[in-house]
Amino acid sequence: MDALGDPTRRRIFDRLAEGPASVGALADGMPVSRPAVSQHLRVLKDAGLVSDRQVGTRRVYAVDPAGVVALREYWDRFWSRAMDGFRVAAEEHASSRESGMQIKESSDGEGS
Amino acid sequence: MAKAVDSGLTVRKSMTVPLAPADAFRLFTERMATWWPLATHSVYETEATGVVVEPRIGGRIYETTDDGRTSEWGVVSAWSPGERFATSWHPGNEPALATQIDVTFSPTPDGGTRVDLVHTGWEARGTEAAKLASGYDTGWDFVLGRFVEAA
Repeated sequence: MDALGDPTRRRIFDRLAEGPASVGALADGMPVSRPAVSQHLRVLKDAGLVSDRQVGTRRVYAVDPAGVVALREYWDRFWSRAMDGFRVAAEEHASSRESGMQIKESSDGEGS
Repeated sequence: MAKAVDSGLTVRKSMTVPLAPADAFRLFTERMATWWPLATHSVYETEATGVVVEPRIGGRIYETTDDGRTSEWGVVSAWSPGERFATSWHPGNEPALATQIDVTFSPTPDGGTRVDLVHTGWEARGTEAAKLASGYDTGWDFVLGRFVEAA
């Protein structure tokens, strides 16, 4: 299974974002079998992005907002920290190059 | 509505840095170890000393230690020096659990660079959201699955 941005799984998630649905309803709109849809739903459920509940004889799936929010907040913090490091390094690099040029200019001026 | 929730599965970070795009790109890729918070954001933590980005599509990104260990973080999927860099992203995890990073470098009128990072594809990532939502440690350990080994 191509888990790297699997397009069918993304489609299933997008469909659930519009509202809760059963496996059958989801499979009707997809070019894949019901078992394949169930497999994708299992991955999404394990990831905490989708929850399910029994409604009568059907199992209905829905986006789990808590899981989505938690994952989003996690990665937001992760990249804030990493990209702050990049910004600081870029600013240091720029200022050291400026002062480096000044040193070079002044030493050129003093030379010969 | 779908669009709003879909954006919930994407993290974007944008910033402007005082370097030309070519220089910002080089700093980001060639000298990643000089700015990446390796002590906390790596597989080998304080033992991690380097990050190698192989400069081509299909090239690997991996951290290194002084005693020769390496751990792959991802595989380069777009490589346009000074413009764009994309990679799969699975530090501490198997490639099948990869998410995706896309970084673009755009010139600004004052000679700097706007850097836009987009991280997508989290629906591939195992049980992370469920555990985060239920209050587990939200540090890097979590992403690396180290808490599983420790348990």
